[in-house]
Amino acid sequence: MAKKMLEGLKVADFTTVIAGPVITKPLAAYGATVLKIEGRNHLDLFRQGMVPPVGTDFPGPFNPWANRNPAGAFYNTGKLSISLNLAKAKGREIAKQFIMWADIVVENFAGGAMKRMGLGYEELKEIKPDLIMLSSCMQGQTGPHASHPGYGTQLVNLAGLSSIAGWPDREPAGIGPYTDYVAPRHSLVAILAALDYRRRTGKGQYIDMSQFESGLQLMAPLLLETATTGRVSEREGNYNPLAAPHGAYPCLPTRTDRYCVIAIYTDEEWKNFCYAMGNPEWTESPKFSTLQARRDNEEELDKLVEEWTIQFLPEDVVRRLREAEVWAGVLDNRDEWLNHQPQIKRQSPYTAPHGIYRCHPEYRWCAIAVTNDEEWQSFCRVIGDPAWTKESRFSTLHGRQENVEEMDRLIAEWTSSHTAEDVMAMMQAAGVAAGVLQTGEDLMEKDPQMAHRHFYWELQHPEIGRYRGVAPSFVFHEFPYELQRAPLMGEHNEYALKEFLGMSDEEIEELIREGVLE
Amino acid sequence: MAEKNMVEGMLSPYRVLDLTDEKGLSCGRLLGDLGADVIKIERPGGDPARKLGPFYDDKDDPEKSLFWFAYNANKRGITLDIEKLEGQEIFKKLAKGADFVIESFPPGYMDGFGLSYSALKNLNPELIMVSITPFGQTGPHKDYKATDITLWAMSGRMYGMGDEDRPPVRMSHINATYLQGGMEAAVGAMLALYHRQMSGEGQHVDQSIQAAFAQPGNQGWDLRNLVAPRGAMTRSRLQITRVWPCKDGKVSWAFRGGQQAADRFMKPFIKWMDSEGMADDFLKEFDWEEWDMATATQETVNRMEEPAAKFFLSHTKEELLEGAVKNRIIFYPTFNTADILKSPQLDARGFWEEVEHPELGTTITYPGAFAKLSETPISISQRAPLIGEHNQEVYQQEMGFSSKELKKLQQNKVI
Repeated sequence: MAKKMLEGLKVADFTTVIAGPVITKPLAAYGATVLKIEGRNHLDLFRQGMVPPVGTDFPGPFNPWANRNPAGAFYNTGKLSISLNLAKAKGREIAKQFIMWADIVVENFAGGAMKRMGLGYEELKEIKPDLIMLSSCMQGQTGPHASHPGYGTQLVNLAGLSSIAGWPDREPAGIGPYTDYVAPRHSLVAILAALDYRRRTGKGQYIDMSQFESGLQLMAPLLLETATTGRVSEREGNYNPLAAPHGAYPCLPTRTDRYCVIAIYTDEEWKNFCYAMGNPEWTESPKFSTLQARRDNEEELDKLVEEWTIQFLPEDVVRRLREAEVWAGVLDNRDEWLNHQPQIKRQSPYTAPHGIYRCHPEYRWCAIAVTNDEEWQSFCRVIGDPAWTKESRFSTLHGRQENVEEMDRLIAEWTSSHTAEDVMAMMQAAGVAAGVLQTGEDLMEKDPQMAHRHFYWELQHPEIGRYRGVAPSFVFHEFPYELQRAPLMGEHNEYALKEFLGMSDEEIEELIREGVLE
Repeated sequence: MAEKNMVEGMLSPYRVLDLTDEKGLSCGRLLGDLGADVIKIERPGGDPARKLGPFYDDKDDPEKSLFWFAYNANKRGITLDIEKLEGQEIFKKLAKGADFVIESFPPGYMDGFGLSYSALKNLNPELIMVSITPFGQTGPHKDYKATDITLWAMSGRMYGMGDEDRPPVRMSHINATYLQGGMEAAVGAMLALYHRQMSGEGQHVDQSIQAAFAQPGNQGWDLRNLVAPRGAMTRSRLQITRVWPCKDGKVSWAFRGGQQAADRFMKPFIKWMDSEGMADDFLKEFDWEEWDMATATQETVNRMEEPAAKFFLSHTKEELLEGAVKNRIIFYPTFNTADILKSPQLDARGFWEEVEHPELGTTITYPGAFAKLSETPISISQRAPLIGEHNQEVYQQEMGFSSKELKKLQQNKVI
């Protein structure tokens, strides 16, 4: 095999869980020597029994399976491991020697922990001026929240990412430790750029990575929106952006499950709606004169509309509104309406159809996104040009957006009689973006593109057995990488101490005796 | 770029030509943040990504897209039609002097204009070309069309997202897959740069957005042949509250047992409640280490949730965050963008940057650096370019076109 890209690059890796190990994993794949410096004293969560090993029951509070956590094996492919007791001065001294050996130090303790161990950047810089060191923690190394520990699964709440994930009428959809896959990319770019800077100037660099601030880069357009307009955009799931008022409003008899559904799309409809309500004074307010204004003041608007609908039976509301040429419907159960709301609309105001459609069998889904009229024509041909596609309410983008619920229902009638794979293939053959909602099984066993890119690597682990790691997501056609299994805890104690620090057998034996090696 | 040269950035010597649309804009932004001279090359009339909202003043105007502002800061901007022969010649001249070309056209599009990697490599063997596409440059799906939602679906990240009784759901507003693809591509670009310094050779970085978004892997399937159903992340046998109302919003917290949870979450939390006289004896005497969710009863859960609900309701988001930090408990309020803008931690770190937009007659508060660097701090030295803002600077002053030639290029709609 050709010489690997990063051969000769040395990394002292103090990281645990996901956000840290994911930084150094690609470096190992491209040939860097990455030494994971771990120990029982700062045991990686993924050396513990958070994830039960294959064929066992949940392992309980503390476990003997340091090497069998599949997540640990997944996030540490290609690294070496030394188990060092950092609670002992000697352990910290050896850690310092590995830092001297390394080009790059990466750690993700809670802010300030390295400093307390005498391994802070300022100290290390004195003895190794060209050191490149990255500290990644929740909220950065400075400021009042610096030392607050945490995990990405919780941080997504602070970083606003939860607030934009899910349905507006429910709690945020769980997005897992989302930031754990964002900060490592920023970290890697900074580390690799720092290597170039060091080559040119001889200077090192300290990179203070706040996973909070890194995650906010994704929120940038929305933060600018709030900074300039004051508006806060939150998760929109089923929400329809083109209508306000829009929703199910309670009717008589009170405290029953009887509702009417109202959707006001245009200013013309708004005027008609106001007329149907008898033009109450509040409808004159500039707060409600445009769609944007109505959306901005939606909460207030909904309350006022509700005060009106609650005085009538739903049938009466619908009759009055239809007379005024405003669309409305009767509902016997609020959940029924919420559950029949089709797909994800608000997310792309530029396109329709756009969403996730149920296929055959019913637990399979396919995403379809039509982005212009030409694609709409192609889409119609694929589904056999049914008569409804010719109706005026579906023939333009505006019409489709206005009648999106009905359209999505009609589309789902077609998709649900085909497999997700067939829907994707037929749409793609006609030039329409579509993608199967893939599971782990789809990606690992069936997706020909992932196989073509050799994304999953089959590895053999002495304790876990066969498992698969993932390659970096970019490919250099001329420069291969290689994935190797993750190390057992302390597997390379002797190797690293001898080869990297030049220690003798006697010295190593003493370290074992003193409990410095664990 | 006089201002930029004042502070040597980590990538100051390098020039980047950025041909991407919304699929790859975040890549050039990162390189620009690190000091590279990034020139965003737009088609005459402006890039289609300028049509993406939200908009400054809510005006759907190509010079007011906040999406555009966010991911094109620290870039200069020129217009150039590379579909025209004259445009291609100019692009080749630019590529000769560039270190990176980033593009996100469908595979083969650049080849059609004689601008493939191999053609550009002949002109400039050190050039690093970064191609960001939904599925990569080769393979059975290379020509598949995609948008953010289809990439969410194909990457496996959407399957478990949302509730059991509703269709899967992705994140609203942001094209998360594209942003991730661009960031990953920047890593590839940096690796290629490292290699170039060793070998003198450039190369082609082939970024797949699908693969970028599929990074978390699928160990459930791999080792256990399990496919977690939708909502699994927030579902359990018991009804457990995970998002609680507080005085002015929501906070994320869940009771659970075991050693880890006891030490890091439960005991310090109960202690804090107790310090305010809000923990009852049941909570104070509870054995968190031994509590096993697998055998726990709903009654126990309800018993512990009742006082907690009262506790949360008597505090604001701000108080809860400060208390969590002070007591070293891992939980956070559910912040929205307005809360984030008020964060004392971000203030203390000087995160926000005021960026002038003279043409709007205003200054806008931007999220600041993605990382704090000791030697070469990141800042926004250039707000996103207006359409063709640096045409004169680049074409005339740097490439030596005369103003007459420039005019002719304009007339021919090349720029």
